[in-house]
Parts: sequence; structure tokens; C-alpha cells
Amino acid sequence: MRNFLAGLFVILLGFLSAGKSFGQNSVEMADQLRADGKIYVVVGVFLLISAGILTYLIFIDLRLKKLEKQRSENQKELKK
Amino acid sequence: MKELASIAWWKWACAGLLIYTVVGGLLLEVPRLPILNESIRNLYFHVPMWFGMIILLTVSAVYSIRTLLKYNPLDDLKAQNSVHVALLLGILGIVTGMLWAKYTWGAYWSNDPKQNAAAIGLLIYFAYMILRGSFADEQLRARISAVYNVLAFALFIPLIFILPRLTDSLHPGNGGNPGFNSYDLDARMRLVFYPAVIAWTLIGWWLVDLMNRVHVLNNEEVEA
Amino acid sequence: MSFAAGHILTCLSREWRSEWRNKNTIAASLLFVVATAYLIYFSFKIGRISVAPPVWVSLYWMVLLFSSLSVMVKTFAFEERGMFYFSYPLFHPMVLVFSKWLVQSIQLLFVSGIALLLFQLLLSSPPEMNWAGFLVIVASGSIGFAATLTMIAGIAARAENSSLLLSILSLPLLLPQLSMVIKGGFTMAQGFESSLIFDELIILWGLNLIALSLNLALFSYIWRR
Repeated sequence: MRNFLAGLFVILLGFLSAGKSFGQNSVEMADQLRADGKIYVVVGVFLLISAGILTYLIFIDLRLKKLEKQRSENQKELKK
Repeated sequence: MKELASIAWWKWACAGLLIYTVVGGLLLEVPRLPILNESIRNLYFHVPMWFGMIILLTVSAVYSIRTLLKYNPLDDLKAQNSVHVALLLGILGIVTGMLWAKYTWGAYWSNDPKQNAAAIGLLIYFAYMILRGSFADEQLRARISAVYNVLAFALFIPLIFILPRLTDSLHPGNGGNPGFNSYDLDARMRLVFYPAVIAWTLIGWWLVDLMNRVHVLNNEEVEA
Repeated sequence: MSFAAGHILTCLSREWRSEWRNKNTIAASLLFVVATAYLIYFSFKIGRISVAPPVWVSLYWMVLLFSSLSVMVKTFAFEERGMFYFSYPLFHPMVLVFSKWLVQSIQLLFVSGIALLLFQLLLSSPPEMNWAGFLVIVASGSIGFAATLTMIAGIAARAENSSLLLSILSLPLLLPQLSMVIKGGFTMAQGFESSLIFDELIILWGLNLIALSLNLALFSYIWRR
């Protein structure tokens, strides 16, 4: 688990550095947004929302597991 | 913590890939193209909806064939819920597509083959849901709607290849070939795009899984 | 239960007679075609609009599409009342569905011919029209519609509320075939050579074969008790 987290951290660091290097091209992109570092605010918001939805999915999953367990126990008792 | 470990590995993979998609999709470099500008990043969020829809519909068709070969209420349930979630992804795909189209092609709807295919796909599979609603007998419903599902899939997939022949596509990689490689992605974008497709498809399959289990718990006759 | 040609012929004649006995259905569909064609003629006359070739082709296919639906509504009417269970053990399901498809094809060919005559009569047809090519498209389209619609009519007949279901289920599913016949029809209406619709015909027949083979493969699942 620790190795996995360390690997994740390295990848994230890679992103932070990648975000700053841009090629020279006349097409207008949101370069200023990145230079200001405000892009990380957007990333933060996206991350929080997806993390929230994922947590909720996991929560429902666990709830269902509990109900399924209860039901199988009930059925065992009924069979007795 | 012990409970968390009981959650299937692919759900954790799905969570990880989604986080990667969001972070990588916003931060990694993308080609600098006129008109699209920064909105090219929508590719990581809009296009996977369509891919996820097609993949879930394929899964549903497979479960329908299994239902026909040997009746099992659980297979029928999976076929139904896969179509349900595929419709959700399809609607999200069509709405996000319209929004993106307005600001790159200038109109919400422009008779683009991929837009048309998505709309017809939604019509076909909404009809599937209506069909399912018009049976009293459970086994008959499973069998007949499975027949319709197989027919629908067998006519919908060719349609995706036919439509680009009728009108020019505004989507990239047009010219009659709507295939996977035609999104002329460069290598940098593939790095996020493929994981994004897997992530969103797995989210869809996760929802299908949850709905299956709710139905099983709700219905005493269906044995898990 | 065999594939013998004799079986197909017996089954075919049985289907044919049962359709013929039910003359009311085919008469109703013909009336539907006449009324729609006249309505179109009338509404175009009000606005004093002449019908451009692409509009002519589109209108023709729309009328044909809805007439096909009206022909198909009653296809399985007898079967609903249990007639089908009587003949089901006698014939192989593939023989049954094959003859059903043939009879429906003949009916739709007949209806499309009548519609074509009416359109010719009331709304003057495109002057440049390549008739040979157009007739081939009309025939292929009618046969294909019959294949898809026979299957969907069977599906709808097993459900409640079947006449409404038939149109909901079939309209989006007929779209692939419809798009091919309309595309080919446009080309012919502009007077191009017949060889230009080769691609459309190939795809159309591919779709027809998909519909027909699924029909043969899945028919027994629809009617199994």
C-alpha cells in the first residue's frame, strides 16, 4: 500500500512539472490560467467532486453488502 | 477498513482511473489547435460517454443472448440495467456534445452523423424500455425483450457505419470511417483518453452492479 | 418438422389463404395509401407548390413506411387468438417465418406499386427519373421492410398494447434501411445512371439479410410457450 501511494505521488509530481512546459505556438490556450497557478484551483474542485461521488458510490456499495448479508442470514434461519 | 477491503478490486481501479483522468485531463499537455483551443480537453469527458454507452449495449446484448439460450432472471436483469445505464451515458454524451458543438461548430445540432447515431440509438433503446414495461409475465418479458435487444443491436451497429456515408462529419477522422483509430489523437492525448474510456465505462458498470443488487434485494423470487 | 419444399409450399398456401380471407386488412391499407397520397396532393395544391424531386422521393417513402406499418398491424392477429399454436407443431418454425416473410413481401410490393401509381398520377414524378433503378430500390426496400417488420410485429403481438408498440419499436429500427432507400432514391430521381446506387443496394441487402436471418434464428423464441 505504501509503495502504491509513493508511486502515485511521483506521478502527481510529474503532472505538476508537465503543466508548466508549453510549446511555442500561436494558438491561444489558457496559458495565463496556468501561469497564475489558478488551474490547480480547477483541478481541486474537479477532484473534490469526483472524490465525493466515488465516496458516495462506495458508501452505497457497503450498505448493499450489509443488506445482502442480513438477507442471507435471514434465509438461513428460515431454512432451520 | 475490513469492509473497504471487501469492495471488488475493479471498483478501486475505476476510482483511481477517474482521479487520473481528472488530474491528467486538466494538467497534461494537449495539442494547440485553432477553434478548439483549450476545449480539446472535453475529449476526455465527452467522448468516453459514447464509448461507454456502446460497450454497455454490447454487454447487454450478450446477456440477452444468454437469456435466450438458458433462462436466468439474473441475466435478464443485467441486460435491462446495462441498457438503463447506457441510456444515462448516452443522454450525458448527447447533451455535452451539443454544448461543445455550439462553441466549436456554431450550432447545437448540425446533422452530424455521430449526433444522429446517438439520437437514433437513444430512440431504439427507449423503445426497449417501453417494450419491457408492457408485459405482465416475467419470463415472457425476459424472452421477448431479449429478442428485441439482439435485433436492435444487430441493426444499430451497422447504422453507426452507414450514417457517415450520408453526410459529411464534422467530427475528426471523418471520411466514412467512424472507427476507433480515426480520432486523430496524438500520443499525449492517448495517454489520458484510453484510461478515461476505461474509467467511465467502469463507473457505468459499477452503477449497473448497484442496480442489479438493489433489484435482487427487492425481489424475493430472484435468487442471487 | 422438416425443411422439405413441400412443407414450405403448404405453409405458404396456408399463410396466403389466411391473408386473403382477411381481405379487410389489405383493403384498409390500400385505402390508407390512397387517402394519404390524396392528402399530400391536396395540401400541396393549396399552397400551389410544385413538388421538387427530393421532396417527391421523401414523401413517397414516408407514405410507404406508414402503409407498411398499417399492413403489418394485423399480421399476427390470428395468432393472438391461438391459431398459431394449432399450426406451430405442424411446421418447422423456420418454414413458418420464411413463408410469413414471403407473403408479407408480396403484400408490401403490391402496396408500394399502388403507391407509386398514385404518386405518378397525383404528384407528377421527377422528369429525369431513372425508373429501372428506382423500381429496383423500391422492390428491395419493400422486401427489407417486410423482413424487419415481420419480426417486430411478432414481438409486439406478444406484448400488451401491441398496435402502438409496433410503431414505437419499428420506426427507429427501420431507419438504417430507410436511409439507404432514400439516398438511392434521390440519386435515381436526379436521373443518374443505375450503377451509382450499387453501394446503397449492397448495404440495403446486407441489412435485409441481417433482419431476415435474425428473424429465422429468433422466431421460435418469440412463439415458444
